[in-house]
Amino acid sequence: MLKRILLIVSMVLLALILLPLLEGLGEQTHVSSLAEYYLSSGADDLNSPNLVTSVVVTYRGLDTLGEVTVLFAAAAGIMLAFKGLKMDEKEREKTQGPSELLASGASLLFPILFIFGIYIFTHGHLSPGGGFQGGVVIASAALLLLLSGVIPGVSHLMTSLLEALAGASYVAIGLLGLYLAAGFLDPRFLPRGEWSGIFSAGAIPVIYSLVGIKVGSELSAVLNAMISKGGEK
Amino acid sequence: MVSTIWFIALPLGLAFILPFRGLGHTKRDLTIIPLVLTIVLGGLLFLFRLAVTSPVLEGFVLDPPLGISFRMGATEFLFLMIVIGSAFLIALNIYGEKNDIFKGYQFPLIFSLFLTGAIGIILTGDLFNLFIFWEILSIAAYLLTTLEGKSRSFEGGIKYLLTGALSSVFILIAVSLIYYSAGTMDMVELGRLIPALPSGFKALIFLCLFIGFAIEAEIFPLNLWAPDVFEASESRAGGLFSSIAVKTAAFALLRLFFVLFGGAEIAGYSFFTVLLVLALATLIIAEFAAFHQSNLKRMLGYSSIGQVALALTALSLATESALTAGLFHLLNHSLIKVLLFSLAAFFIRKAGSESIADFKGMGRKFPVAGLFFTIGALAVAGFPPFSPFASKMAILKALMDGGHFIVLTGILVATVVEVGYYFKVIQVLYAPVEKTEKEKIKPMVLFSWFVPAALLTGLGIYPSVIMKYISLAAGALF
Repeated sequence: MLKRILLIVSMVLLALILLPLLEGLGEQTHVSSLAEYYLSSGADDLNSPNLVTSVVVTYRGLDTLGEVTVLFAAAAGIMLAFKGLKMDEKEREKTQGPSELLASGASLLFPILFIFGIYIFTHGHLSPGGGFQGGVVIASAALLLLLSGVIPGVSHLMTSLLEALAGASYVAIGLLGLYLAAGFLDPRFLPRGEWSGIFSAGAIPVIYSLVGIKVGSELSAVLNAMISKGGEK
Repeated sequence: MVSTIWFIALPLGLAFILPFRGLGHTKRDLTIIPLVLTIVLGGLLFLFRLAVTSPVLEGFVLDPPLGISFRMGATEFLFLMIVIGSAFLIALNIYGEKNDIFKGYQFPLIFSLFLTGAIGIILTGDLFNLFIFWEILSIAAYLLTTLEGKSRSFEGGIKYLLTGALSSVFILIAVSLIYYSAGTMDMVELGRLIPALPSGFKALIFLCLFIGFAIEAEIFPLNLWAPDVFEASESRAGGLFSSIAVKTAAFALLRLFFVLFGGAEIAGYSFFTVLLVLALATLIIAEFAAFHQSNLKRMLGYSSIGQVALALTALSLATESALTAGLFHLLNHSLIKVLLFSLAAFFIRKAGSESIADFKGMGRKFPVAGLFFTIGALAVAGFPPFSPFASKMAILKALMDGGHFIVLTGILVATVVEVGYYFKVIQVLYAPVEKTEKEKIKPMVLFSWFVPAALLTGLGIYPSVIMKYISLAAGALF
């Protein structure tokens, strides 16, 4: 009882602290100087029609690398926690194979989803979406195959290889930007290309593809660990 | 020119590659990797030694205040020295004496991420970027807690995760409010813009950031999670929390008080007073709690909370001499806790128990380990000739100059309690037991104890070697 009262009191206190937000937060009437810079020079600078991507991959590139790392650490944590958890053999026997309908449906959908994921991350600099979104679509394609039982598991060798390669290349491209262009993760060491062409905006599509591959393989590995058995054999 | 980004790129690149390296050999001994990494980072830091007097400012893609930048001045250099130095000593100890849990690729991976987070928080000049590195450090810390894989470690890890998530939420609220009202994330620029904000807004932003950082800096009443985490993790993981994670949080508090809110005064009210009161309360509560502990790791955890709070009391005085004393104490405390947690790991392994009562006669059986523990205990309690004596005296002097006699009394009482419980442990270590055979200790392990002990003694006798850098670091905060 006392615990509950304390909880309610602290919640009320927190609400009181946050109260000034209700009146203090109105609509912004002007654009800040930073946003102004993005709007006026962003497109010229990087030659990418999707300004959000320019900000995420280049201007705040270090943050995005950090976010990729956060996801990577969380995935590593899940693998660590699931290590040693093995499904009971009896339990396994009980699980039925997929029905014909489910299996063919999943096998039909998989290539479409997979290609759509690749499309999203390779076009991150042109249209909405990017590496994270594309990666998640690819992982959901893998999830479909795993849940329907078409494949027993995703190869750990493949996912860890893709993950490591993509991660290391991401850091390496950042360093190339540092020495060949204006700073870490600067994409302008590759040619600008033609406006809104698929090979344009310097290294931005390369970076987003790497993020897509990394996120896709990471999440597939996590789902695999959760569905089939322990993270590693 | 070598770029400061290498401090991030090296450990991060390594962490990304490691899962593949470990494939199929989950129990291969890779403990050399963290050791090599810290040595390389130490060498890199040496290349930047001139930053102490001529700060380095490096913008990526866009120059600050528009883009993300890394700054390295005297303060950053000092904290990097603490972080990389402690990491090196702990990696050395683990390399010398590894439990099974440190084998395989997992530990080097978590260790690299942990360092990436800590170094990033120190170097970055951008508030949102700081938040990202804060997340990386926190997740690595949760994983370090669960490394042992026992149910107790998962309990500790989940507790850490929940409080850590709370800390992140508060920081994120503050970050979004700041971007909404000031339109930039560059901390130096924010230091110019924040004073002009309405004071209700300012107080809200300050409180959110303060709560967020204070949870990780283990300030009362936000530190209730910490003893459990220290108890749940392997001793040397505890050493990493105590000498790196908490110091990084203290650095973030310095950024908050000195860079973002220069002077920390809102509507005529100085938040340094709040910090002073909370730090003193933390110190006294932690030391009394430590006295009652029967578990060595838990006791060291409480002692760590107390010592960092002592340094924070000094930092909250915000004079140059008090800051110098506080920073010196943070450095000393890292050395002490690296030494004591390494020794705790040794005693716990040999005794097969974490209970202090079970260490009976360990000091007689392993005279060298007993000697080093005694050195560490004397140092933490503030006995001459060890360096914490110098830093504690400087803190007391700063308090005296400021006329804070109540705080001074509190610190003295806490010190007496501290002497009490460390002597209790020493007494147990040297309790008479029937003659047992002396065992050999690996030279690598001995070396990893010798270095911090020698530094504690050396800096105690010749503090001037390091004081030059520390007063520069304190001066750079104004």
